[in-house]
Amino acid sequence: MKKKVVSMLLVVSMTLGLAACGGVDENSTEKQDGTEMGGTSAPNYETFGEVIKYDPNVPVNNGEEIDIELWYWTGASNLFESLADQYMEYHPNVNIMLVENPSEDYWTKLPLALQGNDGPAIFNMHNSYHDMMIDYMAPYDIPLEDIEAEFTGASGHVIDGEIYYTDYGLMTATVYYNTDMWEAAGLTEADIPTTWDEFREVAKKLTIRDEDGNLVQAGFSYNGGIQGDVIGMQYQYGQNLFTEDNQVTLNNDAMKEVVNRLRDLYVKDGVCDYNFGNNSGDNFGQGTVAMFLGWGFMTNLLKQNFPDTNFDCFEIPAPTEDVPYAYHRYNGESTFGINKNAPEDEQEVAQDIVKFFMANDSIQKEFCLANSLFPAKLSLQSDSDLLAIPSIAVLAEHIDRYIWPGAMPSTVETNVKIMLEDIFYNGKDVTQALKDAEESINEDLKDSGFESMESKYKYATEE
Amino acid sequence: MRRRGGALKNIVVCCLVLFFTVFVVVPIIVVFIGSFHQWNPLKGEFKFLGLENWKKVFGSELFWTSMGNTVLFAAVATFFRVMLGLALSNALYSRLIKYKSVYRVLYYLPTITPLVAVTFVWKFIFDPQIGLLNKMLGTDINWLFDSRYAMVAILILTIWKDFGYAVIIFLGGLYSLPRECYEAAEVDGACAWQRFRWITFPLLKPTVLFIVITSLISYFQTYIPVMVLTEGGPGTSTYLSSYLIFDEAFSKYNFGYASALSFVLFLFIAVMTALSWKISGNVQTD
Repeated sequence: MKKKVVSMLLVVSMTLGLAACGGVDENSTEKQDGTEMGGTSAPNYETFGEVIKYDPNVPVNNGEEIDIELWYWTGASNLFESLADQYMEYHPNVNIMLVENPSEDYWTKLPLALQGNDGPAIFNMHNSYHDMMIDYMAPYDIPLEDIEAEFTGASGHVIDGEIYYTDYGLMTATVYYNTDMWEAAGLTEADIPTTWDEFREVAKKLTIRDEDGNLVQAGFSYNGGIQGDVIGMQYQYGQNLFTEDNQVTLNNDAMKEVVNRLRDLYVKDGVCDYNFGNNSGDNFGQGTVAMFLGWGFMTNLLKQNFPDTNFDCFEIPAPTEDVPYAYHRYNGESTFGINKNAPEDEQEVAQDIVKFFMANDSIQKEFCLANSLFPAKLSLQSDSDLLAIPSIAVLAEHIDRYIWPGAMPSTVETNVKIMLEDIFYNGKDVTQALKDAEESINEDLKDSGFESMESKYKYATEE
Repeated sequence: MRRRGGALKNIVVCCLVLFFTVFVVVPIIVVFIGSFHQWNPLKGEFKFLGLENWKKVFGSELFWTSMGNTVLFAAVATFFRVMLGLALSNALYSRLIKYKSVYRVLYYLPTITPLVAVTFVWKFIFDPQIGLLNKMLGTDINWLFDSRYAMVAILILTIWKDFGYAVIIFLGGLYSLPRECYEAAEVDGACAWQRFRWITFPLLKPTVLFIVITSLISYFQTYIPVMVLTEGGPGTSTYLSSYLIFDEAFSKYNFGYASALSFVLFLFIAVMTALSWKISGNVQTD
């Protein structure tokens, strides 16, 4: 009997305690600002976004449970997990199933999956596969003018008045330099070159040879491939990469100037030689190269692989002190693609995830920070955390002076690689090499349906 | 009982026929048909082009460069594989060598290592700055970016990877040779070289031909070392036919043209194999 009384008292006290706790929860953790969760009544979240707005209070799929697959390639699981977690926090009825694919298989598996009925509703996209993917994609529900108002370069992705994906972050070639070597050579911030002539002088100062004339430290190296950087340097001379009928043009004075300068840096200036390492980025990290041209992703790669190497970046030099037609080309990391063959309810959720991403500055900042990308979203372009990354900071001043040439088929880079190796390593005549590469690329482009976006560049009329 | 055995035999044969039809005959037919089309299965594109792809194949400078490179590569790699295999298997067969099983394991180890993984290791070995090979040889050669040495580098890796297989096969052949021939030769006073020249080598000819044929077929299809070490460079100096096919199909997604290239390579390998079988038949008849 005594035991029964004690048990009853315990049950009553626990019930009262739980009820009290519930009452406190309801008042204190109901979301007002979208940062906390809990409670039993429907939370009231704040709408976010400036032009593209996202209201988390609007139920998705009528609040009914739904599973949706999001495919991405390996390398950034944490970002996609973060995105899915944040979204599902607002919409607990949605279960985003993240499917990670090896990057080498992704672009084979994904299109085949999209052809059938079991493809993912939403997937990570890259513009270099535009031609292959675009027929499987649904346009965004977000008004075009809203996207164009908030995202740099969005106009380059418009197809028949619709946007299927755009860039959330931009990347281009910048010069990485070793700050310790810079200082040891007696150079200061005032010596940061803005023209190619100044650059050559600085590279010479950074070059160290032993008493027998053997290279000990290269002032500047492009060993291991510079094709991605060469495609874009001709813009500095007002020369587009493609003609109006979407043919590539390489055999021109601008490209000859670019190639000859690169060769002269080695042959005349002696700032490096072709046997001094096979990967300028790695050699820079290993401390045998003082400067190299690298794209934004190198920032994190260097920090991760060579934490003891101190470096900074400066913008790619131009032919003269004047602002050129364009400094270089850029490429973007793309927003998500939506599978047009997915069931309607899944597509609706996918559209909502895209809107959530596009309106959400903090997630885009997370993605840009992780990939060292210059943010395409205007509201993030003066963000101090992002501008603290050297390869991002150098672009801030002239981001509008970079061109997106369009989603170039891989034949362009493959043939320019062959062309440059033939010139630099096999001693082929420059004009002949440019002519051969141009012919070869145009033969491949003939049936590709490629369309250059150079005409959409802000300063296209200055060409 | 006999009827049940016959039924089982038929089932097994049917399974094999089905397997070869699905995984060999059908793909060959699909590739042949695909070679007349602008074909990208990833886009669902399949547009008839007639002989365009075939004309492009035979008019392409890169195709002829890659075929020349392929023939040279296959010939040299096969030659060294056979020579090293013969020499080392004979050495291991000798009564003078101790710890034979240790050597057998050591020689065979490269064969069972994953090709992509060891190719990445060799990439470091060939590095002009930190590479082991230059340090060992006391040279200053840019193995992978000098067109005089890039193919040599790929050959070194291939021969190192594959010679162990030849050693084991030759060793198996040597152990199966009749002892009486050697005993008779010894009685007649034949020296070691004469025994090899007049007994071992003629009796091993079918094994040699087996190694030659399988090596040629395999080397005509090599592309992984090229993909990892040189990507066909510098320029096009190490483009092999299979790498060109891989590049066209999986970088440019030009499956129609890649199919035409594949079919040419298929015919070439078929002719080479038929020739080898013909020679092999003559040898066995002799």
